[in-house]
Amino acid sequence: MNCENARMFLGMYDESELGAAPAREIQEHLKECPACAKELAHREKLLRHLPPMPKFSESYWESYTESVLRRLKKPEPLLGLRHWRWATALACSLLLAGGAIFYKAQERRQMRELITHLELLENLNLLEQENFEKWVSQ
Amino acid sequence: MQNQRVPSDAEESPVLLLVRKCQEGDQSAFGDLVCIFREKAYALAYSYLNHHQDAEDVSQEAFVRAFRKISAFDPMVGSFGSWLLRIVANLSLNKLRWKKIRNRMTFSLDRNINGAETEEPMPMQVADPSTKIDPHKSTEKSLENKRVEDAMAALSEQQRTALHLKFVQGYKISEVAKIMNLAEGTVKSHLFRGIENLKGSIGDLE
Repeated sequence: MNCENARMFLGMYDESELGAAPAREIQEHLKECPACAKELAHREKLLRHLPPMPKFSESYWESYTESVLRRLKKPEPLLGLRHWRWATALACSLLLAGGAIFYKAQERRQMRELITHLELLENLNLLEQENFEKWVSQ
Repeated sequence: MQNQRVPSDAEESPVLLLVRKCQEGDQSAFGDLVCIFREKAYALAYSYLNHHQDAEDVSQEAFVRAFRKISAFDPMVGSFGSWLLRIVANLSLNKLRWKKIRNRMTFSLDRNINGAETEEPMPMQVADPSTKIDPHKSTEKSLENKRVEDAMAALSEQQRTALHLKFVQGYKISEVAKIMNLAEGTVKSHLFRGIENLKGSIGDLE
């Protein structure tokens, strides 16, 4: 085993994870290579200094459990975050659709009023024409 | 180093009984499940978040979600422990994302007022009274620990979590991969790069 391969494994695996044969190869390499042995010592020292888990008393864990059980009794929120996103999208779509329908209805109403006006004008025109013809014949 | 393991199916028959009771709506059985898994759930959330209050909140929320969705849990798919830890991991990642967004939004304001965000202390931490402390050694050690702690905080969340799960909590690589929902090769790569980055930012320890 060369240094590059050995350094992929140094201090990272238990023997059970590595397998007996590779573990033996690494051990043999470490005997012959002071640089890798130094690297292993450095890594082990570094890993020993990793911040430990906070330790808590039994009373803390009891209050933790009670707190979870208290939270269970609170009513479930109607909508979760993901549902809120969908609800907002749905509300926006409904608002847009509503706006479009209102705009179209308004347009149709105006058109109908225009047609009524035109019809009235046409009727008036016919009446005037009729009156004119009567007047000529007299 | 604490040696924790993700419980296998064979170990889980009492857990499965409790799960079945919960699926029938028994809250006291869920209390027993909380007692079994609370330390693992908290530890995982702490690995991701590196903050006591957040880890407590997220792990408790994970239990609440697990209880509400317990009817959807299928023991044929995996163990209850793995299922619960996946919920913890997902909620922790969500929390990290929200923290990042919040930090970005308040960054300029914080910088103008008082610099970096201050971490809350951990009031519940219990010191071991049996240890006698030499003040000189203790200062030296705490300085070294502080350097490692700062370097850990600067790692990517995946590297930090993988290192914490493997070397602080004592999980095997296959278990870390399962918890983090990553391939074993990816976990190995995070571990290797995490150690290299730590070495790069700390240098030699005394």
